Amino acid sequence: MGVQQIESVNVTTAPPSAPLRRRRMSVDRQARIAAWLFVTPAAILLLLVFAAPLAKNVQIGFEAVTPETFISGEAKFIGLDNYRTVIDSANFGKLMTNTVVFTAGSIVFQFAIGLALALFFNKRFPLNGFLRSIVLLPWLLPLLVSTTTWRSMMDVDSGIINRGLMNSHLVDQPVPWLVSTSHAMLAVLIVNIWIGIPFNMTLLYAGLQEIPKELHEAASLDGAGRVRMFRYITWPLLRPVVAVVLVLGVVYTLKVLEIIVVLTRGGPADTTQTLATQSYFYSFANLQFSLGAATSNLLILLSLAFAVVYLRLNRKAAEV
Amino acid sequence: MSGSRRRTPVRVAVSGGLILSLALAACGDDGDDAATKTSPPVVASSAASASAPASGPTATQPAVASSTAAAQIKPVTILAQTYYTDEPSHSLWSERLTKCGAPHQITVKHESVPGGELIPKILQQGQAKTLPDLIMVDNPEVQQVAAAGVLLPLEDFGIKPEGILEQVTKASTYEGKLYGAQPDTNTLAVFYNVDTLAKAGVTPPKTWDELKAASAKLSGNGNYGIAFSAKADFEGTWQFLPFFWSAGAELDAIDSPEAVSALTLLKDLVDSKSASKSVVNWGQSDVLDQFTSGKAAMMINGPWNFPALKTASKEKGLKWDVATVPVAKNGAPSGAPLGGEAYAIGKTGNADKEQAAAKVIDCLMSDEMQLEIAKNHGLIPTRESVLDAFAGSAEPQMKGFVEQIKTARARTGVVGIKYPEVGAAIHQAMGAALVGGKTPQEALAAAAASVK
Repeated sequence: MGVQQIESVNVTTAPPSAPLRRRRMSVDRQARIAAWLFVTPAAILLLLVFAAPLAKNVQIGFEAVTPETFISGEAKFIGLDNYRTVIDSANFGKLMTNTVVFTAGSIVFQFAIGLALALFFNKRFPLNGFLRSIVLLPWLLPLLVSTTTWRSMMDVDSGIINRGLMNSHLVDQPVPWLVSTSHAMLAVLIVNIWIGIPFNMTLLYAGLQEIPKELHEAASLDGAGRVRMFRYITWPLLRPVVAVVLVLGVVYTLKVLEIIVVLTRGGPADTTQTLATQSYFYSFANLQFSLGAATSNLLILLSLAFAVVYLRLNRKAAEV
Repeated sequence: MSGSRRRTPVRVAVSGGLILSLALAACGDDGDDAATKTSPPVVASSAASASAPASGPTATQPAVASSTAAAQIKPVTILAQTYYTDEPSHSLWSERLTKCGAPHQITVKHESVPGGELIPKILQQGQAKTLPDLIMVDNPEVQQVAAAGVLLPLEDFGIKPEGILEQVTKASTYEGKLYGAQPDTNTLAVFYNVDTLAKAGVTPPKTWDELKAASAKLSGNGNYGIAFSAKADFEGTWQFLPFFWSAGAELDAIDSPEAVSALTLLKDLVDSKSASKSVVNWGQSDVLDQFTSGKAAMMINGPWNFPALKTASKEKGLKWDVATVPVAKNGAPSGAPLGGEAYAIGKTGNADKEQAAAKVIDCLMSDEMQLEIAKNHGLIPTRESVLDAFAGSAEPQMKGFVEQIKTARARTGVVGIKYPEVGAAIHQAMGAALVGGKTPQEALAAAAASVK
């Protein structure tokens, strides 16, 4: 504001004499300094709270940090050794596959179900508000509480899910949800999808509400069916919201930790171990801080790559 | 116009000044802290010459003895840190620490952090120079914390492990020096349902063969013979060790034929449906639930469950007793892992407080305290001379544990500070063998390869 005012004054002033020019220079400079000083508090905060920890994590990834060197601060620089150890470890391939399967599986179903529910609730019908608030429940419960409940529901012998399936004769043998290498990933996916639906639904619902009703009315007068209306009106106008939902969804899912730790601790036999959980166990269970940092740096790179690719695609789509 | 121009820099100056003063305040705090932490030793050393003749029991260390005298005169407040966040444990420990400090005019403030965060927290405190004076550490982690250089050797304060179980002392010893004093310990044994075993005509198994036969006989109808934890966690490793050691395996060779035979036993139990597949996802509290609900006839667990089991006896009429963990074969060694927490002195640089922490630890190690802690927390005293008196006064079921404790071993006895790495490799192998489709041999070979 102040800067603009000053500039407009200068424009209207007649050809400046020498002393006036000097004064304008100093005004410009003052304004520039003022601008920097206003930015500084926010910049310091961002550097301190976001950039510094990240830089530290990158640094630890290149050093041999043990409990001893953690205190003395004399960790040795070992270049890419940590990354080599992580990538050469027997379970790394599994980690990557699990991370991708978990993320892709979660996003696809969270998004599809969330979108379906958002479209459903976008119609007017009795109890709409009440039902919509029930869908939000998974989001309101503390993760630890809901996940612990899921864990007991999925117990192979006494869990309510298996008892229901057995009593209704849908299965002959109890399903080993959390304790078999063939089912554990499915189990953690189910729980994570359940938890992610409200987030997707809420944002998409808000996006749908923003679309002017007249467009759909006009289209229906022109004889467009439901599918065509969705294809040519709803979806294009919803795209910006979809982009946000998907990018945030991928980033949130890549770093999911509590759900997996509570349900399976990454087991059985690493079936549900992801980059996020492995990095946590390296650092906080095995006290191998450097390996933990290296793994989480890989995770950050991966989520950065996802974000960049998606934003690029989206910008291209918007330009067309 | 000129007004607005002038105001801007002023505002900036004010906001800038605010930040600056905040920053200065922060620095000032640090400075003060450092000052309070470094100055007392200077005071103490000047007092040393004055009070040198009045040497206490720690006369071998003149500087320390002097501050002993100082501590007796002026009251000290120290900070104790434990992981007892739950009640009544937290209050009981606060009370106990207060009681130990009172005679020496030591006020003990007691704070608790959750167990999983304890080690990272101590390391952080060490780095930030905000260590508590009295630090509780789980015994397999004492060496790790000592190696980090944040603890002081207890011998320097006249605390000696006299009459303490050798393996308990071993867990708290790093590079020949004792860093932790452990008043009480625990271990694992077999709990069995007296009625269920009697009905099936089974006696508590003494060997692995008997364990397999008994478990098979006790299983069926959705019930299992035995419950244990084989979780992808140190809890799983801890529960595996009684079998591992009885087989004759050692932690520095986790793929030995002996180790393979121990893992094969667990796999046989799961494969034959004598134990649930869920063992790979059960913690020890889940194991307890299986036992108290009658779904498991036997369980591997520790004495800290006595209160819960007594409640179950009262409410459901559950009759239970304790036997030692079955050994590989007749005459094979018995060896369960030692549990329990050790108390250590934080290297704070404040001689008065270090001395005060030592006095409190000394008090915790007394016979009466060992017995009192054991009674209130379901633990077992670590002083051999106290064990028999304890076995006589405790619940009859405790006899099984007192017997087991005599042959129990420290987890860090052979591999020292590498235990977290080795322990993680073992629970990884357990999951891979029990439900991951690998043979025990393959699983343990992969685990051994992952430990450098």
